[in-house]
Amino acid sequence: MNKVMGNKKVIALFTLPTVILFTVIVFYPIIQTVYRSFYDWNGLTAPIFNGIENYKNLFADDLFYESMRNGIIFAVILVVFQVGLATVFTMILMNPRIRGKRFFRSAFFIPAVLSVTVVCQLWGALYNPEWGLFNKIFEVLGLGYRQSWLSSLDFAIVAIAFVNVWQFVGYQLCIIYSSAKAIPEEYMEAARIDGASLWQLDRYILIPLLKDTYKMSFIFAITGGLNAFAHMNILTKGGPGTSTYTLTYMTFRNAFTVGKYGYGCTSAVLLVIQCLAVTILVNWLFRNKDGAVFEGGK
Amino acid sequence: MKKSMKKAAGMALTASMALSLGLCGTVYAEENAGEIISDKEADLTMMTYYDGEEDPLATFAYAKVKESFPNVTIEFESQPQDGGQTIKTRAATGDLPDILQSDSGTLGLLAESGSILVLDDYIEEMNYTDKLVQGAIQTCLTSPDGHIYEFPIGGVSPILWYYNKAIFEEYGVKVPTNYEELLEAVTTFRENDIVPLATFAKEPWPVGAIYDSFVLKDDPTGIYGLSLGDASADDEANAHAVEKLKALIDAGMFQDGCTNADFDTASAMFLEGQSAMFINGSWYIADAEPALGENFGIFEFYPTADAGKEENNQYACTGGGDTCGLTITTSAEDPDLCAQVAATYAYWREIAEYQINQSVTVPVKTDGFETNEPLGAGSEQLLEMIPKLTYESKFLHTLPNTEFQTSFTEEMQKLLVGESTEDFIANVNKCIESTTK
Amino acid sequence: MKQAHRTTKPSTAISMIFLIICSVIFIYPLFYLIFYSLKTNNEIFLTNPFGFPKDIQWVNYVNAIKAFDILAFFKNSIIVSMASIAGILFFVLPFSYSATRMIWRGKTVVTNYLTMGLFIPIQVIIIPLSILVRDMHLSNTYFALIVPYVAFNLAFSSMIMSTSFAGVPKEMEESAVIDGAGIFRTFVSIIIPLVKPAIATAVIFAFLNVWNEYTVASILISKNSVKTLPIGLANFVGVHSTDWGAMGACLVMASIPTIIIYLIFSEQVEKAMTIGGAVKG
Repeated sequence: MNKVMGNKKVIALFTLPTVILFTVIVFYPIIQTVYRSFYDWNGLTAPIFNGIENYKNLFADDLFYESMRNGIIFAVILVVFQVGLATVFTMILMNPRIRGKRFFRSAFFIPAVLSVTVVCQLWGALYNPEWGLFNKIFEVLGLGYRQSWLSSLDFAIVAIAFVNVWQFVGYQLCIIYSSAKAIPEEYMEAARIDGASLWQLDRYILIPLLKDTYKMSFIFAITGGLNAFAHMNILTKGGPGTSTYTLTYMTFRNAFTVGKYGYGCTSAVLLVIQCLAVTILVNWLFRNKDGAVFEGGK
Repeated sequence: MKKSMKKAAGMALTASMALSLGLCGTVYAEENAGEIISDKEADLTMMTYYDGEEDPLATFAYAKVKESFPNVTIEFESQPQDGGQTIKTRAATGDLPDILQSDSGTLGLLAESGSILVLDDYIEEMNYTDKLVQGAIQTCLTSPDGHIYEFPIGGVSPILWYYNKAIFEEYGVKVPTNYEELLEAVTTFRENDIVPLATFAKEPWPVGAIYDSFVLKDDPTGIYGLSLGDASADDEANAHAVEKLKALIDAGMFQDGCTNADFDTASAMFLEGQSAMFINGSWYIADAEPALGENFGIFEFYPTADAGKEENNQYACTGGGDTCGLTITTSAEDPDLCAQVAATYAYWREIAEYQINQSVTVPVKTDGFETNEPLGAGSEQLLEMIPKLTYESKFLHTLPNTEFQTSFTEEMQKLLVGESTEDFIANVNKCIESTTK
Repeated sequence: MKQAHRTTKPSTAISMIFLIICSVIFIYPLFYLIFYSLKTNNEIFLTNPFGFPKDIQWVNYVNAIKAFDILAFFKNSIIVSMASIAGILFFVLPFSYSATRMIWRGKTVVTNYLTMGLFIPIQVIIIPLSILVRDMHLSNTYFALIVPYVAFNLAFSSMIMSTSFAGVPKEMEESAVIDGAGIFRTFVSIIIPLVKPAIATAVIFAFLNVWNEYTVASILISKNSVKTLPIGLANFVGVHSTDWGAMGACLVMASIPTIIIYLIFSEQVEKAMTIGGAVKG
């Protein structure tokens, strides 16, 4: 058996095409980016090598810390609310008594099917402080509360993160729910016979068995938050001021709007390093003790 | 510019020659249009800001190109509004269209990197300056390096303050002529749930225009002066402007969420009568006058000076001209043909801008052409104002200091949503210091 | 068992209500978009942003169709999406299989290496990527988009596939090998059918990514004959104001394929789930 599964030629045939394609199209440009981060360059005329000057400037740049802080806020909100909500939906949908599962699953996926442009247009209108729906609701309820959602220096980043939460909950649900459905019925049935409540079933059987899936969900959510770009690009263009900048947005601003491509590459490199670190950390936190969990389930 | 003046002097000396040359210039515009300039066959690509094939101005100009170049076809492309990302990337890979619309935001960089051609000789050979108005020759043609890179599109456009007469009448508010009256008007409108001035501060240049409107009264170089490091945010003129602006922001001059509003949102508020005033370039007259009819009004000058000092730089204006137009890229296979086609297209597009959109600020001479509809009161008023207006500042997005543009927009947005004047001044000064050393 | 019954009933009702409220919130944007596509600019921005259009503007659809050759853009989008998905599966299926089930050293390193593709913002590498595409002489062909799209979706898709391959019981391969089937046959006719739901999931995600992709397409393609739908939409950005209603009409038309693809493949996910369960049992 091991002989078959360890066949070097087959492994090479199966693996190398992907690795080569990835290296050429994705990794090579990353290396280029790292290389250019040591240059003073506007992207078009001759680059001038300036050593670690860009990095020194970056670490002295307030915008860098603001962008990084926003990325972290974004990531935390995605993890808590997007993964959290998807988990709640999955638990409810796993309840055999719930009817119309197909309908609900499709419904939750609809925002993800629509393009970011549409979704942002809608939320821009909902958030509008003069006539948007949220302030209208407060008005109707007779609360004196008003909020300039997207023009608040502190709150805009949170408001945008929730647009992302809402749009892509369907993605997370799709991933988590299909893995949950793939868990053999017997595990659940055995626990039910033992008199476990639904909550216990979820807490002690379902979630631990979905470890690999959650690992993936967390990586998606965290890296998605750190390099968020599309929603703020449409909703606020990074504003008001710089209060909805993330590292991707900062890179974009410096490389293209300001025309300091080399400096833009520097923040890009830091972003890649952060994301890599997070991936490794999540992998480590969720390192495989699968076997044990399966034993317990049985 | 100097060059063309010299040429004019030379022509005056030989009167007969000057006469024939002058005739050539004007005749070309009116009658020569249908004549075939070249019957070469070519498929050209052209990237403009908005036109696309369906735009009436583009359709008109393309038809004129077809008359003079029957075997040339143009494939149009729209330039995405993405902060120059597409253009810069495509320039880096050498994948630019033959003819490219550009402005000072990217033009300098494209010229420096050798992506676009110097057009000095073409402009001279074609006597293209004969077709341009003096203001355009002075401010829209020559780049800071002394060369010409484009056939101008868009002339010298002032940024104006507009108002809705009906709203001012309804609440008995005097149309302000100075800062004190403006503050009073803002307060009255706010008490009555009217947005005093809707703006679209999501875009960079409107915030520059707002700031300039105030500072020009005391320092006519405005944000241009700041961007060069000649002025400072805490000098007398700028600090005073910031103080006035802050008082108005606190009084609720702009709509909630203005830093997040795009043009369509803000303009809808003004045209639907929810906002009493609006700031935009002179091109906006074509949109707003038909929508508001008799209620459409234009301020003679910015109502931002201190009371009693109204005549101080009274007609100092922000906006102005920019080196915007059609450039020929170095990837063009037949630059001569492209230059001729681009010249024809740019000229007729601007004629159409005059005829169809009643724009009286086009860079080309419009003598002998009629607008399709008679000029509206707004355009008539603008025509009277134009000779008085002076420009020493610039549109924010055309400042040569691109980093200042970006940082200044960011700081202005923060001021609009409640940042203190001290922080604003400190941050702007920091940015001036780091970008002008 | 009995206890479970008693406790679940009220909570089931609450759950149902919760799901219904949520689904309304999630479905509404579809209606928002359809209404939007039938309104004027003033209605969209000011007078009636959320409700049913007051005066239905069918003309928006006429303008949308007239504004550009929507069919040609549609065709391009479909070709690019289909080819990309085929490419993604072609690369990812064997790779994830070998990375999860076959025995070799360096698996983890290679898998982690690939995850980089998840978080490389395209804006960051667009210049080197464009130069690369040009040097490969792919500029202005469908491959200028297909190749990057395949490469950028490798990470996401292989993650989805790997989780699924990892769940296939070892016995499946063992019995096949004992029966004398080679590794290729085992892979194609035994293993792949077992992971159909994951394939369907991967296809849905990849399709959405590719179909809506804008940045790469706007920069790498300059010829009209190869442009995809999102680029066509850019035509609606006007000089002084934008025809948002017509843009909405385009977006409605552009969303139809994504909804169809979702419905077809989510059906596959559902169907295959029950089969997968049976096989495992």
